[in-house]
Amino acid sequence: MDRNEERALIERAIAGERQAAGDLIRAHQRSVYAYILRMSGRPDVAEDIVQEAFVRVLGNLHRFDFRFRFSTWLFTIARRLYMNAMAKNRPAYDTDFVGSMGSPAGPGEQAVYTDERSQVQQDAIQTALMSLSEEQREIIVLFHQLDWPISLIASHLDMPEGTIKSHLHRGRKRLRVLFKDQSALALKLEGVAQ
Amino acid sequence: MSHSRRDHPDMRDQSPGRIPESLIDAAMDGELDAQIQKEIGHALQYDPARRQEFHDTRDAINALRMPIDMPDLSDRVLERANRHRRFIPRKLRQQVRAGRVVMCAALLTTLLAVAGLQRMYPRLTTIAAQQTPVRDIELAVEQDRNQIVDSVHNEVGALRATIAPVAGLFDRLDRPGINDARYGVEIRTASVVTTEGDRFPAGQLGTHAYAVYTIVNHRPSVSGVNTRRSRLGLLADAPMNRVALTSWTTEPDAPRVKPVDDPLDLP
Repeated sequence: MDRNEERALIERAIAGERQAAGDLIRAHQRSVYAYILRMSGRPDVAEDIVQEAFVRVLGNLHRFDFRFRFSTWLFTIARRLYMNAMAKNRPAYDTDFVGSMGSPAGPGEQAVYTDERSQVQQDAIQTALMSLSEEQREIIVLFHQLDWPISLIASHLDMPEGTIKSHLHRGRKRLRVLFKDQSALALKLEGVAQ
Repeated sequence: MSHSRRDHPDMRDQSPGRIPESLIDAAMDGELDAQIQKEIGHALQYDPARRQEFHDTRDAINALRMPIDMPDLSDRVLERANRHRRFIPRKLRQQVRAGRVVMCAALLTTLLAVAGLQRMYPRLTTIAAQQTPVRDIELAVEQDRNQIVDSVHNEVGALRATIAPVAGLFDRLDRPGINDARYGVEIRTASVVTTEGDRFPAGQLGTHAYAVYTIVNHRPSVSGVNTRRSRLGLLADAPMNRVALTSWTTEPDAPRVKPVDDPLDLP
């Protein structure tokens, strides 16, 4: 969706068109959900925060400044909610969730990864991500998963671009090692189980 | 920002055959142009360790970019937004805003009207207690006076009732030596009483007075009795074996009491 389309959608939502508000949510929910899920490692936390972020955004949509990107505004609100939730009650990494990714509770109820064959890799990457520092994890998710440019990440996290790069390189190096170890371990366990 | 391969700082001090890690990072950050990236890809064929690292990193990134399925949250969000009245159509929001302005204006107008009325008619808008006009002053004064008179009569009646049984006991006492014993009886009235007349001493009694009664039990034959009677303020021909009001005071335990000119004999 380009910015003109997005602007038209936002204006219709401000005018009270429920369909437009729904389209706006559907256009952005996946990326912000992935962001919070990767950060927290918990789908319940991600769902709660994404919902609350959208509710707040819709409630203040008439204040939105079209000079900025809607996704940046949404991510900023979601990130703030996530940080508040972390400060209030630090969520533990949900290892049960990772183990149950292959067996969803029901359609629309539990987040699932689409490709069951990639389950081992998904478990491994989430475990590896959770072993990184918060800064490294967030920067890697924003850069490699959500394709945000370095400059936008720097603005979003209020850090110099050099610091962002430094976190990115160190985090990526660590992620590579951790992911490889986790994948090997998972494959070994899978072999034992069979 | 793009670097050529020769300009990159890590290219200057590297061992032959190794691709600098920072160059791989720059490539992954998207900072190198397509030509340089192609050259790096070619060079990786001759650096197996770096190639393995590159592949491991690529696998991790690919795992990270795998699509995530998730429930559609739009209905839940819209329901919550409606419940909290946060998602309000523009027209409705304008109406709500206009309504608030009207309410504020009405409140302000009411306050101004009350302030104006208060200035023009202070008594109309004053809620606190106000003075009421006095009417029938003569009647009120007469009622007050009657109330005081009744009060004094009641006090005197109570006084007599208190003393009467004691006086009966005194009648049996005929020995000298217990004469002149004094008993104070408290008199209280609800309001300040000014006495006049022959029985009570003239003057203001206040609300609290003490009448002092003295047992008069002197036999005429006892010598010096008249002197004592005189000292007590009794007349020479006062009856014997009687209790008489001999003095009064407005202070309890006063060492000296004011003698009564005409002692009041109690029956």
